[in-house]
Amino acid sequence: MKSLLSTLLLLLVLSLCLVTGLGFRQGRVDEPLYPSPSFKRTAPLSNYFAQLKNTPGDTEIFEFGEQDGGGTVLVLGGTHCDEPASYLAAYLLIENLKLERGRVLVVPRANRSALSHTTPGEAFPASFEIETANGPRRFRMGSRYTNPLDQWPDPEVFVHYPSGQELSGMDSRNLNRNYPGRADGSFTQRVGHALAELVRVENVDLVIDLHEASLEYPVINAIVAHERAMDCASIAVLELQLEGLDFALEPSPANFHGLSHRELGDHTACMATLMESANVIQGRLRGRTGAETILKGQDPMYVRAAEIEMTRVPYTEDGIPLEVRVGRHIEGVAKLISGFNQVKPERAITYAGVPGYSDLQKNGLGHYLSGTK
Amino acid sequence: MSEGAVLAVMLAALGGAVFLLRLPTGVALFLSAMLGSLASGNGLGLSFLTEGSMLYLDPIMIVITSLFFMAVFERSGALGTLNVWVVRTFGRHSFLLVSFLMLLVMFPGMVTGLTAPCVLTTGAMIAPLLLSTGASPATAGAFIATGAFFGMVAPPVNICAMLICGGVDMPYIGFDLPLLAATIPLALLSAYLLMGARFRSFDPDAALALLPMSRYDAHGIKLFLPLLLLLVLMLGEKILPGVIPFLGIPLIFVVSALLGLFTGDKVSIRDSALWATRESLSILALLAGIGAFIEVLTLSGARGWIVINLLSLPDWQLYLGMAILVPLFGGISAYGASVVLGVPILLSLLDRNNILIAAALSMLASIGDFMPPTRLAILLAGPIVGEDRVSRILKRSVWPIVLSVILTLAMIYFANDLAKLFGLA
Ligand SMILES: [Zn+2]
Repeated sequence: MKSLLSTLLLLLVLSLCLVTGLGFRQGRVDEPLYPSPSFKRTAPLSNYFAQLKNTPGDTEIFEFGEQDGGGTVLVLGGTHCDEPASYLAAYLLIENLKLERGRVLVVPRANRSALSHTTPGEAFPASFEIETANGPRRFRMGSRYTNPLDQWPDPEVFVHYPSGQELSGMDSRNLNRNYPGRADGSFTQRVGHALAELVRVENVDLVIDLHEASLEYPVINAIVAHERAMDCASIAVLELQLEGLDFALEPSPANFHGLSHRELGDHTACMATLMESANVIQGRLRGRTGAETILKGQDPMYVRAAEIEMTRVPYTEDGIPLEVRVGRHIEGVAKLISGFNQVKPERAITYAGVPGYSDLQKNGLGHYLSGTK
Repeated sequence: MSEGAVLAVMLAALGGAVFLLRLPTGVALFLSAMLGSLASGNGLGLSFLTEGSMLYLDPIMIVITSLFFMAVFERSGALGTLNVWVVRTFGRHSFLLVSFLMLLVMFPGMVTGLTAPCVLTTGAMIAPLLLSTGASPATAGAFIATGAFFGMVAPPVNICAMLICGGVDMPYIGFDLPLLAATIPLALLSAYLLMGARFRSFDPDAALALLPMSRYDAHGIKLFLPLLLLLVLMLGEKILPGVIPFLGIPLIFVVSALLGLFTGDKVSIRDSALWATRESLSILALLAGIGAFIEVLTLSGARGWIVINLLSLPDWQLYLGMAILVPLFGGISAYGASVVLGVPILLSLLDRNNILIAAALSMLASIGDFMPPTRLAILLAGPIVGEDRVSRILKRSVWPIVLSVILTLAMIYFANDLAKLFGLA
């Protein structure tokens, strides 16, 4: 009797593993993107660091424009894949951009491994849907960290290379603590190294790393800039202000290592910048969690948090929907490029076709992500 | 159902399953999580339950492999030999002996930031010695659990503090001094409160008669090679980075245990593995259940509800709330408490020195290793000292816990003054 019960329980657990395991495997499937006609080609990141070939660390670079005397900008989405506005802004660029001068490189899934799973304990939905003219379009939700199937086990203490700075072991799988990377290092260090190589080989002038953060996080609705990117970023912040979009300008901390704006700035010739929008689902104070949390950004717990001044941005029942967050990123990219053009007019980069912040609020995100053209 | 109501359902289900149905806590947590998922309108939430149960995969593997290591270490004769050596060396100096034993228990926690390796390795190693003084199993268990707790908090590695730092992008620098000051004096005081009297009337010869025989004459120093290998592999990456690879703690325990098969008395690998599995099974189920429970707390919004209600407390009530809620949440998971409660509390106290605050919060969260439902430190100590009713160990641990709570609250209240004292401001 007892062994029968044990066998039954074992079978139950095995079938549960099978069912959920198949679900988790879906996380490895990249959703298709439909680049605009102006798009030139995709190249794998492994072109810049061959070791990544045939690994989950390899990821697509979407290339627009030519080496025509204009500058080169690199937009990174999906460094942290629980920050959906970061990769959706990148998708939106890829599907709408019409390049006129210079080059735009977009890596929408900078840490592709991190998009293949969600963080245990956070109860993120596996995916969410956006309504478009061609029906609903499904996008994956991911994690801040590299999938442990690709890098495991974590050390107890993560020692950043080359600074020697110590962080908790989990951050060894955080791409934005692993720059400038290491060719013979961990999976995440190698991805960081490959991206730094991309910046060096392609002589990227301006890097824009897109992020989101929880509402209680001190650096929010902000542009963070390396010293060399300060001029460009301050012009961008001023221009954004003129359009009624509040952005704080934060200098990249000199003594905090591993972040893209610090290390790409120090180890390559680029102007390194990073943008943060306000994302409820990353917050520790959030209430009920689901796909709606991503899309609408509404949360009654954060309304209470705003009342006791625990949030760093204004927050009401209306929430901070995905349109607003993606819109801020898209507008921020435009203004950073505008800032770059004013600092280096001879290398100006110009483009059209991308909706602005107000277009997104008026027409919705789905309007610009309708898929097959 | 509202967030607060879901939390009530989950806690009621947990209590009912444990106290009325007499189910193992691990299973009860799973059922409670499933009910929470249903109550919050997420169906059975199978994928969430599965994902949540993976939250503590690493601690799960550490518990079972470290027990396997200890089984081999004991059966090879090394454990008994070590105890005899300690008694012969320190037996006549009670203060030295108590201090040495406390620091010994703390050591694995200082390098891993976990309580489990303390209880299951050095704690298990000195358990026979503690019991040979005539101390009750509960007192010996409290001594080991207390050492494990202080080891977890003490520098250089305090994972809870690192997690809090990670949440606010603050480097883990400047913690060594405050954490040492917060742990070592209190640890030694606790050691004395618990075992001082026993050791003052300690008779080394009587103890030697009770302890297993030394196997030193038969095997010599090679008895301790597994322990040496364990140390080298754990510390190697720090001392000689790039030369000694970091294998991960579970594999380090297994490799060291395998060496132990050849360094002393003959050991049956099968018996040792079976013993380790039997002793750890309920703890493994518990850790998996806790993960699922936390996942549903988050899913249903109960987690956020707890945090926002704590942070909304005014003034002195906030201190009281922290003192109660952070350790209690730590009873589910000390790491969870650090991330979920520690980070927002730190952000709400930004006018105070953040190193002192993070250090204090990490200590408060680590007290969770004494607290139900997991009460990990005392739960693991139970089988080590042979105490079936772990609540007795908790009762014996009351003083170290109370003193630690008072100390952490003082650290928070006087954070800026203390920071000046430590040269951090
Ligand atoms: Zn981010």
